[in-house]
Amino acid sequence: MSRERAINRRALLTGTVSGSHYISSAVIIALPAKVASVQATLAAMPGVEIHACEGSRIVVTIEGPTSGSLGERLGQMTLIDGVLAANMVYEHAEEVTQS
Amino acid sequence: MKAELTRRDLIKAQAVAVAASAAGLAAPAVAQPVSGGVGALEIKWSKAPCRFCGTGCGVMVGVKDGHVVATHGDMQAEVNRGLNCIKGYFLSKIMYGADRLTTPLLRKRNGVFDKEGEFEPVSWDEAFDIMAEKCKAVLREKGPSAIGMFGSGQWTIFEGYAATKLMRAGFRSNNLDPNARHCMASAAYAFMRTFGMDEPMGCYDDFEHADAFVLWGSNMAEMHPILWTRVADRRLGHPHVKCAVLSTFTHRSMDLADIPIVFRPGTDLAILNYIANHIIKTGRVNEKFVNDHTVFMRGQTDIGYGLRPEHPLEQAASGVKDAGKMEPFSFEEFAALVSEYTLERASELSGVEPGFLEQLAELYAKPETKVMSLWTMGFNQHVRGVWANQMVYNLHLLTGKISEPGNSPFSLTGQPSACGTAREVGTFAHRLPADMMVANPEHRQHAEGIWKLPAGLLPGEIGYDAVAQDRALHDGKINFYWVQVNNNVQAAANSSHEGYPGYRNPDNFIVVSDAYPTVTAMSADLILPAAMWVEKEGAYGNAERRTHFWHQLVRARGEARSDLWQIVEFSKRFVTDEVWPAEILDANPDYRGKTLYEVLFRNGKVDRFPLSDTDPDYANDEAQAFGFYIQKGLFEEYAEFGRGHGHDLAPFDTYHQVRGLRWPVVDGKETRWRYREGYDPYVREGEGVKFYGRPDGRAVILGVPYEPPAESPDEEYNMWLVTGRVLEHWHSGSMTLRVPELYKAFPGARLFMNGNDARSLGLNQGQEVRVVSRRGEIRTRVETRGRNRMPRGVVFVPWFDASQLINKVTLDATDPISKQTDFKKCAVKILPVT
Repeated sequence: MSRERAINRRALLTGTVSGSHYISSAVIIALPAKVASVQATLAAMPGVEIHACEGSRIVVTIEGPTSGSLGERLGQMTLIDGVLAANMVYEHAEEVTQS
Repeated sequence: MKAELTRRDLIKAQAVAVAASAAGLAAPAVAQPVSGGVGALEIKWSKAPCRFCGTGCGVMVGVKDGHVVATHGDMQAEVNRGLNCIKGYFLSKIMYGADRLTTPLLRKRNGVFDKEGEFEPVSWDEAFDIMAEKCKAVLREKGPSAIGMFGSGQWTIFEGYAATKLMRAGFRSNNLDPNARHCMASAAYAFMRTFGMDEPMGCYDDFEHADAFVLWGSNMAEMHPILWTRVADRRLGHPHVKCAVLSTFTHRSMDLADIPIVFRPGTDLAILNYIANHIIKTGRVNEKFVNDHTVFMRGQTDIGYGLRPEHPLEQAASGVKDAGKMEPFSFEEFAALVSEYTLERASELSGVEPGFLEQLAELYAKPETKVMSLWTMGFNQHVRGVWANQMVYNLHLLTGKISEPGNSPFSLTGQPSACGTAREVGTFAHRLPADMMVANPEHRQHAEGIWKLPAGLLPGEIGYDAVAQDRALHDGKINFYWVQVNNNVQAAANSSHEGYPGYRNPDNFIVVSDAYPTVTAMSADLILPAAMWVEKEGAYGNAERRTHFWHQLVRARGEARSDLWQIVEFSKRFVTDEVWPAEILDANPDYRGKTLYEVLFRNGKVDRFPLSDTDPDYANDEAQAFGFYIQKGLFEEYAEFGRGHGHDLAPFDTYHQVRGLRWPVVDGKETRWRYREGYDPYVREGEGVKFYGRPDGRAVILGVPYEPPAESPDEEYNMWLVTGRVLEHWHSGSMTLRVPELYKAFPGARLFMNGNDARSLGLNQGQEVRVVSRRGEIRTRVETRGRNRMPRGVVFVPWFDASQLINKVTLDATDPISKQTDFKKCAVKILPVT
């Protein structure tokens, strides 16, 4: 099973998901001149959704099958060109039952 | 299924709301944050400070079925306001590495201890039996100067305090030093020499008040990411704010720099003196402040490099003997000294464009610009580290930019309790609690009084510092040695010659307490398995004078026990008659025949709080083991040292309720800015500013020159080697390398190198090379890309990787005043592996 398997709406609706599901939010701070390119890179990451952006600050959610996969994603965000800081804020673990 | 989907959307909305609130953004319309499904999972959440750096973030720790299963940033913690960096995010995994030590291990052959034997599991009784036997033999044959202990800025306050009592009062040896010696001894000495009191006057609130940030050799983006977030927020949210970043190479923090400065190693001293000169020459000295609140001194010069005395560099230096001497000086003399550091000369020495240096100088010179200076290892791990610290105070003192919101020279720390334990408790070879000194007879007498011990018991001779301990082990002058919560065989410089041989010296018995089989543990004779972090009740003190507590949240693995238990339990194996001089016992016969446990920990003070005082919602294995609330007793006895002396701590129980408090805590109120009326309760009405740590109430402005590093590149060893850290790993990696995701993110050390340097040596990206110095070598791989961009002639290797021990290569030169090693400057050559 791939660690990177993202849970999407379809997987939930079709009930093809089991085990745990993790949802985190993170705050990203980007250089003003690079906010747009950072947003584009973030948006292309599996399991990542952008929810708000104001000035240099971007709020995202990260979802995935393990807590570790979320942390790995956070680490990758830190290294995006133009990102000054990426910090996790909230984490929720949910048991997803197969139906 | 629809309900499931709605629930997931709600959870996400909640996650977003919390993040938006942490970031100070208007949250999209959602429900209030609630603990939602968390309760359904039956996770019990409790507060704790993070286990890693000196920032002191608050985290919430989730426990289920006796295991830590999750952590997240604590929204109520002022330091990080709910944010959590990548290392903090993985805190829940640090205790669960597969190779966790769970039983004492002793080197044995044919069933008995043998230094050349293999590690075999033994009981705690057997471990303490052999330890006591070895310790007593050394005490009998050579006395207290031949035993030593190396502790840590990761010890809890209780542990450091128990260790200082056992070593100084029990064994009568000041050969106690913390690994914080490698970390911020230069900062601590400079505080004492400048202000007469240790630790910063300001606090993290300065981040939101400053108009300019100057990073002196610090890479906060990777080493203090949460504080860096506060810098970035301030800089990007307020267009007038400027950020200057000084370093010997380009790193992640440079991304935010308005004034990026890459200087030649060691020449920060020249830049600092140039700025002082600029302030004076342009008439921007705050004369009233300088006249009322400062005093000028001249420092001893040509002070050597802290190498062994027979080293030619020490033989050649004229000022080695009294390296710390400071003599009266006048403003005019000071001005004349720094006048030699013109813009042209500073630029020539440092290799920095004059324009950048001028812009930097103006940040300090302009009266209306509030400046926060920030530094860590770049200044502290420096053969002139004490000077560098004091020279930045010079700039703040000449301009009066100190002890008020936003004007703040701020020394950051690298360990969670470098301040709280190493410095405040006084686990250095020369210190006692609350800034008192072992060499001062009045201070010793005061400690004997608080500890209820016979007069004259405490030794007045300063013990071996960290580097001197390694040399003494090597030379067989220390023969019994106990190491707790640090990995010094990996961490100390010149390890093939000065570190490891001392551990394996057949005359020495080495005990290492750790949670994992580190390089140091594997070099020992006896390994004691240690409980870590929330496996015990604890207290840390962060870089802004914040004391914070946590409860024991889970049980330690296997037979692992906390360092506190180990120290106190071991004290039961000695009676005073075995370790104290006959004349002291003759004069104080009541102490005869008592165990050290009785005289140090059952003294009517440490044992005065009953078990029933412990919180029934939390375990406390140490209190259970000893039958009283030992952490509370130790803390309250320790707090006696500081109360009324500018180091006031709140009552013990308060700290379990709050997210930490910044001392001095007077009348229930913490202190955010020291030495200034209206903020600091120790400054009386009408005094304005008072540096009350010194008898004259004045801070010292120190006149010292630029002096070169101990070893610079030459024809054969033609490159500078700088060592340091990376975002993903903390120090020697003994915790973070055991988190699979962090390991994967940065699995092995690399040699960061300029692309042109690599090409001129015929090296390609990723190629294996030898990094060779006069002391040793390692093999690693070339990295010409990535997060650090090196100038020509400078290479960087992080030290977290136990399979590439870069400290075999480094030089054990220290600041002669602080005895802190310079890990940032030595000469190497890079050779291809053929």
